[in-house]
Formats: sequence, C-alpha cells, structure tokens
Amino acid sequence: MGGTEMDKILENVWLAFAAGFGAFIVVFLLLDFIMMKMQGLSLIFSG
Amino acid sequence: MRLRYLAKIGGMSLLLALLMSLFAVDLPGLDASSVAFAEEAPAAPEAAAAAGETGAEGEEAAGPAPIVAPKLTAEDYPTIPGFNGRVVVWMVAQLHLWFAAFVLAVPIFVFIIEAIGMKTRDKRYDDMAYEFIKVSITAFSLTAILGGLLFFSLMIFYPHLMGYLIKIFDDSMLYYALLFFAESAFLYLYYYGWHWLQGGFKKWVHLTLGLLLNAAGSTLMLLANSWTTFMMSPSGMDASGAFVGDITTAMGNFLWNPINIHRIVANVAFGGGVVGAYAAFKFLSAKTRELRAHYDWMGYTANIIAISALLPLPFAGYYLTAEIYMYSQQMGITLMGGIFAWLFIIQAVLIGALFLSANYYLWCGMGRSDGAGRYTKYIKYIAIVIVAAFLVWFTPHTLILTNAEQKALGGQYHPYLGALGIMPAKNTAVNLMINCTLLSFILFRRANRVPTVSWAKAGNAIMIGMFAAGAVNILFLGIYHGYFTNTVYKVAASIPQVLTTFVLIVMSLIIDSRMYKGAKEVGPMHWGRIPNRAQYALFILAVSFTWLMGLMGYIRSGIRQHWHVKDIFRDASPDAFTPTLGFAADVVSIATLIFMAMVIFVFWLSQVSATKTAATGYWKEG
Repeated sequence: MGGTEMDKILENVWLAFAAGFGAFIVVFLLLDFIMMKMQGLSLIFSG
Repeated sequence: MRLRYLAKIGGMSLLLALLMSLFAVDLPGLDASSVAFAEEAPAAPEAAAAAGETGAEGEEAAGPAPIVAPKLTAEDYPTIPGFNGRVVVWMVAQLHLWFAAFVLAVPIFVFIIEAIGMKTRDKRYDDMAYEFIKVSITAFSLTAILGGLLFFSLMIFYPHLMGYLIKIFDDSMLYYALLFFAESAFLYLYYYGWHWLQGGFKKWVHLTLGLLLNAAGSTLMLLANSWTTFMMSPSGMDASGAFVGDITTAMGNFLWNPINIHRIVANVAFGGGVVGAYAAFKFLSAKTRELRAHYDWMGYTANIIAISALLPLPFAGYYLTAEIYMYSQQMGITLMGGIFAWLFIIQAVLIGALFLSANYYLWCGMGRSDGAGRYTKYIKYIAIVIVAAFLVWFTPHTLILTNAEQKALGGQYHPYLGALGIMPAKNTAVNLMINCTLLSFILFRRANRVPTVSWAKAGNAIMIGMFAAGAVNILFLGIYHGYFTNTVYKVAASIPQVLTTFVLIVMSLIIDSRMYKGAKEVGPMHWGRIPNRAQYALFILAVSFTWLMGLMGYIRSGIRQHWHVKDIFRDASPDAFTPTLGFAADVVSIATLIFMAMVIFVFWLSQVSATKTAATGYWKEG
C-alpha cells in the first residue's frame, strides 16, 4: 500500500475503523485456525 | 576512592550471595550418591526395592532405600480434646499462606517502584516504596509465627505424614530454614538501611538488597510449593508406590511449575489488594489535604499493581487446571465437575466482585482529572457488558431443586439460562470482562492527556475496530464451538479465545503508548479528589482476594480427597472425607475474618508507630 492510500485511511475514521476491523479479524481467524490445527482440529467443525 | 572500591566489592559480594542462594536449591541434586541412585533406579527398581529390605548394608551398595508410604489407622493420628486436627491445620496453614503471599509479593513491587524512583529521580516513588515495605515488616513477623505454629500443628496432628515428607524432602527442608534466615537478614537490611543507603552507589547496593530479598523469598516459595504439589502429583515412584527418586525428582513433580506461575501472579494481585486497602484506610483517616493526596496516589498505584496481575491471573488459572486434568482426569473432574464445582460458583461471584470493584475504582479515579469528562459517557456501556458477563459467569449449570421445582422447570436445567452454565459461556464472559477492564484502564490513562500525533483520530478508529474484531472472534469461538460442535472443540476453542484477549492487551497498549507519546496534559492531576466510596472498592478488592484464595486453596487441597499423597499415601484419620460445602465455606470465612482482623492490627500498628505523645511534666527536666 502506497503512502497516498495510507493517508486516505488515516483521514477517514470510518475507513480506519474498517481497516482496523478487517486486519484484526483476519489476524484473529488465522490465530484460531493455527491454534485449532495445533490441537489436531479444524476451524470449522467437521463432525 | 577507597570507599567507592569497597562499595563495589560490597555490591559484588551481595550478587555472589544471590547466586549462592539460587544454587542452594540445586545442591541436593548435585549430591553424588543421589545422582548415582537416580541413574540406577529406573533401570532396576526391583533391585532398589530389594536394597530397602536388606537395610543398611544394601543402602551402601545401591543408594538410599525406597521410601514406602506407611499404612495408617485412625489410632495413628494423635488427638487433643477440644481440637479438630484437620481444622486447626487448615486454619493455621491458610493464615500462614495469606501472610506469606503478602510478604513475598510486597517486596516484588517495592523493588520495581524503587527502581522506577531511581530511574525517574522522583522521590515520591521512593517514599511510597518505603511505606509499602514498612507495612510488610509487621506482617513478616506474623508470617514467621504462623509458620512455626503450622509446623507444630502438623507435627502434633499428622506426625507420620510429616515423617514421610521429611524423609523425601529432608535436604530441601534444611535449606528452607536457612533461606528463611537469609530472607530475614535481607528484609531487615533492606528496611532499616533504606534511609542510610541513599544516593549514588549506595542506592544501587540498596536495590541489590531488594533483589536478594526477592530471590530468597521466591526460592522459599518454590521450595514450599514443591512439597504441596508433591502431595497432589507425586513423582519418582516405582510401580509399588515406593519413592525411589531423589529430591530433584520429588520437587520437579508435574504440577510444580503450574502452581509456581499461578502463585507468583496471584500473590502480586493479592499483595496489591492488601496494600490498596492500607492506602484506603489511611486515606479515610487522613486529616489533611496533603495526606489524602498522598494516600490517594498510593491507593491508585496499589490498584494498578493488583489489576496488572489480575488480568493474566485467569490464564494462569486455566493453565493450572489444564495441567491438573492432564495429570489426572479423575482429579480434574472432581475439581470442576464434582462437588467442588459449586464452590466455583462462589468463585465466580468473587471474581465478578473483583472486576467490578477494580473497574469502579478506575472510573471514580478518572475524576482526579479535569479532562475525564470526555470519556465518562462511555463508562455506562462498559458497565453494562461487565455486569452482563458477570451474570453469565456465575450462572450455574445444574440447580439444586426440590422435586416440585424440578417438575415445574421440566428438568434439571433451566430451559433458557441452562445454556449459560457451561464452560464456553463462562470463557466468553471472562474474556469480555477482561477486555472491558482493559478498556476502562485505557480510558483512565487517557483521562488527563490529549494526543498530539496527527493520526490520533484514525488510531482511535483502528483501536475500536480491533476491539470489535476481538469481541466478534471471542463470541464466534464461544457460541459456534461451544454450542454447535462437540466437547473436544469446546475445550480447544478456549485457547484461541485467551490468545485473542492477549493480542488485544498487547496491541492496544502498544498503539495507545505510541499515540500518547509526547501528549499534552489537560492540567495537573488533583490527587485526593476521589470520593470516599472509591476507597471501599479497594477494601472489597482486598477482602475478595483473601476469600477467593482461601476457597480456591481449599479446592486445590481438597481434590486429593482421602489421600495425603494422591494415590500413594492414604489418609486414615477420622477426617478423611470431603466436608460439606457449607462447613468448608464456614472455615474459610472464619479464617478470612481472622486474617482481616490481623491485617487491621498491622495497619493500626503502623499508625501507632507514627504517633508521638508529648508527656509534659512526666520526665525529669534537664
């Protein structure tokens, strides 16, 4: 992401909120996936 | 120049003493005969058993004899008319543990506060650290007295158990006694040398004394923890249940480190709670504005210490519980699914009270700043989530019902609220509660500051997005895995839930500290401008911590059931049964009251020691 796009995000609070939510939900889901995998399970229940 | 040289030598000697005190723990393991025996024992346990039978000659040939747990009868337990051995030991052990936790925790944060004072050169930190350690001095004597009383009580009422444990831990018990002397010496030097060892290198020597005090205190705790956990998860046993290991095997038992971690964190939270109560006591009795300001600041620091340790405490608790399950599923089920599960409902209420009072104190404390008005409107939302999480946290799964009530309800579980009784709901609730406390803490930190960085608004929006994503993830894991999968998934999902909270804590503190770097202050902090009712929140913190430790300590010990040493050494005394919950709660509550009375006595003593009476005309003039 270039400097201009970053500036745009920083100017608009809603965009910043969406960026924060989006980035962290991906981080958290990745974390969930890794933690479940480490315990021999999948993130989505497969019966 | 010579003085400087001598001071350096002194500092190095103290560091050397620290290293020696640390190595002291390992010495038994380095003992030549025990190492040799430890190498032989796994290969030939039968030979070791045979060596035990042949007596002294065999010992010389194959190392120490296996230590077999005695098989006792009720007659082997001495009785004293009018005293119940179990209750006496229970009460004295609990009181000793509370005071020990306090005197171990206070030097930890006194050391940190003193170091902060040295770094910032703000004398207020030094004065506050001194006042904290002053409170723990009287408590230290009480700890020692109660420790002696506990030892005699155990020797009187449980001589065979003590004989067995002394045989296994003999060297470490001697080191324990020696370390206690070292701890006393360091504590008295640290306290009485406070005003003497001021400035320059002397201050470093003083700080080193604080480090040595903590090293000795923590090592003492680790030693005592190993005795306790050996009784829960004995190690070094052969197939017949005879102990064939050495001290390091006995100490390094399965639950030793989980308990160590849990106790260190809990002690700091408890110590912060008790000194917070001290500050509240002094605040309420202060006559001048300056004193109120001083004790308000002290209460604030104590509360921050207590909260900082309280936030990771549930994780340490989960880790300990998971390890208990891993060691023995039977013990784990007794803990969480059997009779003791009901005490966890009381635990939930007390933990909820802790979180509510800690948050309430933070909200009241925001009033010290003229800039807090910007954030007060958000408090009600935080309060709603905390109260809702609290209600979920202590909703029981099964209910104690009469036949008529059960019939009216249509079963054992409540049709709507029953779903909130299982662990996924509790895990979700506690994680949300921790994150709300974190939010309160962030608002509290911001109350008196205005950020100057250009991206402050966007930074706030990103943080809100982060907390929203965290809450969604915690709810997803709790609801989806908790109610739409099987038990394995339910348990497994609690780990990413905890990690989500951990990420939120770390990331929010990083973003917040960067955003408020070089921030402007709204105005001076009005220390002392806090309502009296906030001080009662500090009292609630101290009482809740104490009661909680008593109840949870009883559960930890009680899950051994009718065993002195789980599955190895059977308790044959007339008290070898799990008492009713009401009885256990009564014992713990009475012990809590006694502890609180003793703590008030300690507070009063510190007040009295600062009081001077002018006895005009009493003393001879000239």
